[in-house]
Amino acid sequence: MFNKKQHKGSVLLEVLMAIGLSAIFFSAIAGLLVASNQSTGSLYNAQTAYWRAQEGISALKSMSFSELSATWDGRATYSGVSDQWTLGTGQVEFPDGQTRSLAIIEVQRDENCEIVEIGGDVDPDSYYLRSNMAWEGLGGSKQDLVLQSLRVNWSDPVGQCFNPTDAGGISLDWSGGYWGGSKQLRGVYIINNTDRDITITKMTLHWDVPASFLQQIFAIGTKVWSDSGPGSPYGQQPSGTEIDVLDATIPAGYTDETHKIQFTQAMTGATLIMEFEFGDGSVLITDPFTP
Amino acid sequence: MKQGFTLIELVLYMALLVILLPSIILMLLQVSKNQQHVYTRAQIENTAAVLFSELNYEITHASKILTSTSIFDSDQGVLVFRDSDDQLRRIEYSTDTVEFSETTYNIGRVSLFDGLDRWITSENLAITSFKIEPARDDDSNLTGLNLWIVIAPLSTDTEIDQSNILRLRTSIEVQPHTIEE
Repeated sequence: MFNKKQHKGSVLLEVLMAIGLSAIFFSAIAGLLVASNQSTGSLYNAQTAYWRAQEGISALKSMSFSELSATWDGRATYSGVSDQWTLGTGQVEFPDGQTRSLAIIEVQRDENCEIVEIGGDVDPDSYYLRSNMAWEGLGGSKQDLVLQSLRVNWSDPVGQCFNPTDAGGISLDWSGGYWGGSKQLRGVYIINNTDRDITITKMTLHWDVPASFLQQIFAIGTKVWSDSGPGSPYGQQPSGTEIDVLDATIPAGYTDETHKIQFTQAMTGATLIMEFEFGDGSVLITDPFTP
Repeated sequence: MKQGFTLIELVLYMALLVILLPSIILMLLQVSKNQQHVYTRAQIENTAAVLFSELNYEITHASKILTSTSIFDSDQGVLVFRDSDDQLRRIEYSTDTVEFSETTYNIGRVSLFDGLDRWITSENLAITSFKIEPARDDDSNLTGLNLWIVIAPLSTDTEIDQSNILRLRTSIEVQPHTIEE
């Protein structure tokens, strides 16, 4: 007799469970494969977007600064005929569905020329260049990549921050200063380091011998001020008086010796400070020195 | 007490095996293909990154770009320039014969001459286009170089191989200290 309870082997439920488990196992592996593929594709798209965004920034950098204007957004198109990028409206659509839009954004700087987000003055010599890539990622999700770069008009600046001042182009050398006949300051050199002429318009001298007054000033071999003219004010002047000298132009690259700044009394041992104002209003001041 | 499997059980197992085995084999093949695909893509991206980095460095540090001897607007571009020490350098497309898995391929590669010729791109990837375009400002000064580079696996027979082809388009600035000659 065959005992039904002693019967060995698998029942249909066990077989179905085995199939179910196998299905779960293989689905998991298939899922991993799909995820791996999608991840690779996603990285590939991101890398491609980076190259394209970089191209957009370089396109804006290849153009003359004067061709750019703040608050513009659109596309750049390259012409193989003129070898130039030109600005246009809209965005670039690539065959794989990625899009690129470019933007030029104004830059604000504070009084120290540091970039600030708000509250500064718009710098006419700087723009942010922005390249924005957008594409559809996994499951239709929106992906984007933004590259931003600062462009500065180094070659032809018009604003305060990058336009070199006259004072910045001049250096003073008072290390060899001496008194000629105890009343005439000599051996102070004014060096024009630029490739343009620079004009001295005003001078102020400070000294610590109260009994002595300023009598005359020579620059570039010419008398530019004296107590009886030219220049103003008229008469012998005490320390700290702003002297409006005849415009004395220092040629580009020239070194001038202030060979004669004359005082009324002996100045040996006196400590001086010299202050020069130039054509653009910029000012250069020496350290205190004793000739 | 009866031991072992019944005939019906064996038949069922075999039927199951017949159903599942092809799927398992296909899956293993797919894993293998996928691994190759990922590896090739990674290799192509690395090659693109190295190439771009090398070009960026060389162009940024160039003192002169010799446009008259460079070849622009061609799939087989050549860039001739002088480095910061005024030494002649050349980045160019050339062909090379390589052997891979007992098959010989004639492929395009990019080389850098810096006193000696050396390949920048790997021997198991083909450069099918290395195009350089000059970019100028409105005063006709050379201000940038556009690059159009296509990198492909050695074999592009399958759809997966085709999907691995990288069409890289980007641009590199020419610095103000670099002059055109």
